[in-house]
Amino acid sequence: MNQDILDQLIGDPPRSTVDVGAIIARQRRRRRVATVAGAAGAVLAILAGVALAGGHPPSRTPAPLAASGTASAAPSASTGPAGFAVRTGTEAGRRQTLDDLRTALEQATRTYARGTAWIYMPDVPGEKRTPDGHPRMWTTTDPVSFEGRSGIASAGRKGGFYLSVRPTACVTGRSCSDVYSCDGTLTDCTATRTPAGLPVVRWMEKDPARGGKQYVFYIVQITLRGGANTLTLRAVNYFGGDASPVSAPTPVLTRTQLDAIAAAIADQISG
Amino acid sequence: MNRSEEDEFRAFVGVRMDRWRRAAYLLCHDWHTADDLVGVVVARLCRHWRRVSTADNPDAYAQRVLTTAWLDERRRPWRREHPAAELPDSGADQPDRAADRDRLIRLLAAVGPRQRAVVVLRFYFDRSVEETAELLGISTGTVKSQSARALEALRALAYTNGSQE
Repeated sequence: MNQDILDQLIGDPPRSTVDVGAIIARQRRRRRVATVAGAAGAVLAILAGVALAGGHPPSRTPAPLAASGTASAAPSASTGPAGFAVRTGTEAGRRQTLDDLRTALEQATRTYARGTAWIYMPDVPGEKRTPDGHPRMWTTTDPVSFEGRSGIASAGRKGGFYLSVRPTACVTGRSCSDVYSCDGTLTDCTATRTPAGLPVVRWMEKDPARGGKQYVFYIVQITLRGGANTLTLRAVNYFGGDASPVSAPTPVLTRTQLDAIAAAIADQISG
Repeated sequence: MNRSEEDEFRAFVGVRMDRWRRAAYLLCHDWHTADDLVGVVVARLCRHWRRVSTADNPDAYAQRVLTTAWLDERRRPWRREHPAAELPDSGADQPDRAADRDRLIRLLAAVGPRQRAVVVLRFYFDRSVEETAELLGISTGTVKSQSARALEALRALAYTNGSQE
């Protein structure tokens, strides 16, 4: 028995009733259904008291996160000099950019989310297992974007974490990132700036999960110097690939921690 | 999903749509339900396209969604199969492809949903024992035994049906 025999036995299928365009439109509508609550003002007030920080001398040696310690340190309001550029022109440049991003991410997380640890997070079946201790990072095949994903654990909880640095200019066939704004379509959205003045948009998304639970996404996007790229971080409350069950009521990283980590990374990128 | 991602998504789905529909039909034996299952696959891919598109094996992901959507579908009370001691009388076979298809459907209907998923992944998607085990979240031993049992049942039924003609 093989595919050809089965195809012959099945014969000609009737016309498909799967409307891909309608499905895309439905997904788009879902994302746009936002409730920008009056809480935005309260969130702004909270944010005003929480400085998005940088000011950490970039370490050039990736180091694993501290395995123990207390929860988040309050971010300090200082700006550091831009430490590295996003370089996509050469393989060596891309590799260096990945190293720099990983270094900045691990440094910032160690500072603002003490007690957390990077752990291997499975995604799709058959993928190669990578060691704990560092987020997995790679460049897209375009190759114009930089991506990262990892499990993150703290105090017996675990969740997922995603990073991307993508161009803001969308060219057909290449990856890119929409530049988001708090235009009423994003939930709990706040627009602010890093201490270095870079535009920050942070919001959250919720989706229903099994058993009455909810998938929770904390998202922060910073437009990097020059406006050619964005840095986006996502903390999620599930662990693994799609359809993985909810692993905790909320992501391991708090929104404040995620904002601080994003700002610390962005302020080190020269553009 | 921006425009370039949407184009990429449409191309990915377009190339695979026929294969997914046929596989879904093998699982559920009903083109309407098959299209429902493929609709679930397309919606999940669309929702998580940014993650899926950067995954090492998006095809495996889609096949996993299809088979798990099918198995989930079977667990719903209004979809649950009602086992019977004897297969319903389906009339005499006609000597054409439609009769072959009917016989295939009857043969597949005679094995359980998970065995059917194993058969589709192993023999329609050409997945290895190990890949099938990963996709269904079961052990390789279970895949081997279920595919062997399914094939044995299919062969036995094929022989029985054939000898009745």
